Amino acid sequence: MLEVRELAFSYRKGSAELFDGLTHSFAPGATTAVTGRSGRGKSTLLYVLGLMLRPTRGDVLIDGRGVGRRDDQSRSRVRSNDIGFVFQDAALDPTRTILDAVVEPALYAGARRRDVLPVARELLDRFGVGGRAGHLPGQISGGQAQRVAIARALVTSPTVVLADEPTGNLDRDNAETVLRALRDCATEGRTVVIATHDPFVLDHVDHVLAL
Amino acid sequence: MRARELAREALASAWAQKLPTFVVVLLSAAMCLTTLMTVGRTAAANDAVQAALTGAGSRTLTIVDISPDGVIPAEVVDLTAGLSGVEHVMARTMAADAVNAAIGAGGTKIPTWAVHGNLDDVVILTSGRWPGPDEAVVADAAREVVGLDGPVGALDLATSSRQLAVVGTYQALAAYPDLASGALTPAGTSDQLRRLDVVATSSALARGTQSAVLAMISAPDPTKLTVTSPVTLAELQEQIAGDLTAFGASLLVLVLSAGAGLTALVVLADVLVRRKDLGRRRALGASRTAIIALVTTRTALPAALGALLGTGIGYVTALRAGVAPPVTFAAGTALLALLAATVAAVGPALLAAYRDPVTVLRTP
Repeated sequence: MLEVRELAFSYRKGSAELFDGLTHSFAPGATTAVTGRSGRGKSTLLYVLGLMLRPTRGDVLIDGRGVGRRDDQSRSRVRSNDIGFVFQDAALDPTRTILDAVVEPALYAGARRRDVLPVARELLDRFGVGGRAGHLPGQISGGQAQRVAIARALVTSPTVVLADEPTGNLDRDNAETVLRALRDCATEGRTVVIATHDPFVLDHVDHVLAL
Repeated sequence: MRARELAREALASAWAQKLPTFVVVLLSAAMCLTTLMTVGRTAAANDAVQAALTGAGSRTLTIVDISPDGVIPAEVVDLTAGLSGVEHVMARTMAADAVNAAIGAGGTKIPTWAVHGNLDDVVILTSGRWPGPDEAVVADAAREVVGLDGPVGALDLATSSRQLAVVGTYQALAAYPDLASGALTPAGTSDQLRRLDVVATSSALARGTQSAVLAMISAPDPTKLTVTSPVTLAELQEQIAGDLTAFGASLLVLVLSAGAGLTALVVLADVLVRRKDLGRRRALGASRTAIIALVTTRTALPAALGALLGTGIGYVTALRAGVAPPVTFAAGTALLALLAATVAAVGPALLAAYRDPVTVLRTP
């Protein structure tokens, strides 16, 4: 279970606070879209939930443990073990193969590469890009890249998957495939949070949190 | 992150970024090459000075009594041999002319010395045996000059009616070049010892040994003693060695600093260009420590390759030029270059690790 309690964040001391003491529980096994006008902090909330930004007030809780205000080392550990990230542009290293890209987060979590490879291959197969394991990101389509990014987010078997505008650069068909993949993640019991301004995404999620 | 995985990731990352990797290899190789061609030459010169400093020639104190009736007592020689700072000691008479007894007075003369002390400290026996009373050994070079076919025959001393049976030949050690042209016989009790050669165990002990020996001789007229001392030579050589060391150290610091500075710039540029990649890694769970380790290892691997290449090429070049530094110096150079490059990468690595990943990821 992913929760925020009395959450507030500001990029600089003295500047306007975002979220205004937000308290919310993101349901496990469901997809939640975070939406709102530009500048309301959709992506920022995702980065706070992903423990890349430290809240100014309040806390982020995973399974009841307060993790948002911990030191950087501890937050990195939680991020590598419990949180999967999907970026708008997939953010795959253009110089490494698809398989290497999927394996990468597990290495930061302390896993051995040889132990992770079968899991990574299985995930790529599951998202229909197994045949491209040896390809470079420049050799696959945008939709495939985003599915690789979802596979990468799941390689450590996280309880939380965060996706920042995952369909922003995709056509409707590819967007639908990606959203279906994210829904599959949720049906496995994970908490999936998607930051979006795209009404099409809102039609495909279980809950909506408007900022 | 496990060490093996870190090394693999760093290697892949270094391979992916060929230009900065190549520049780091180049810089590291240049550091080693420059060091070996400059500081290495200094080290080689320093080694030569040190070798000269430790050679017996620069540790030998020679005292000659030139007074008409001056004699260096055999007891002083034996006492000197017992001093802790003395490696060996030898006393000898003034040289007396000797000719081949088979040829007679018209034969070519060679110098002959009666010696008190261990002969095997000053010469190497090349044939025959060591001489007893009224016997002699002849230097290899002098044997032909005097007309002896081998270590046989006899020498007639020109200053007396003594005849010395030749029982062996020798080669003089480098510290006693004058013995290479004559013959040696053990000194008897009636022989007047005029010259004392004392070899100290180290040049640093030369001054103390000199004082002790002069005190023991206790000559009635010290002005009649000619002292050839290694003290000044040793001091001069030590000063030269010290100057060379200081110069070499300054040069080494300069070369390594310049190399490390340039490496730091290359790594900094690489880190700035790849900020999104490093931000992505942070977002995927890499800790700051992992980022620092990744950036430094990514620099250390090509630096190690460069150090290996540079040292290899530099050493072979110096060897061909005849100024090869010691192997340990070459190995140390490679290690220092690697260390300098790795340390140079720490600053940019810290910058990469402490940059806000969100800002990096959201900045186009």
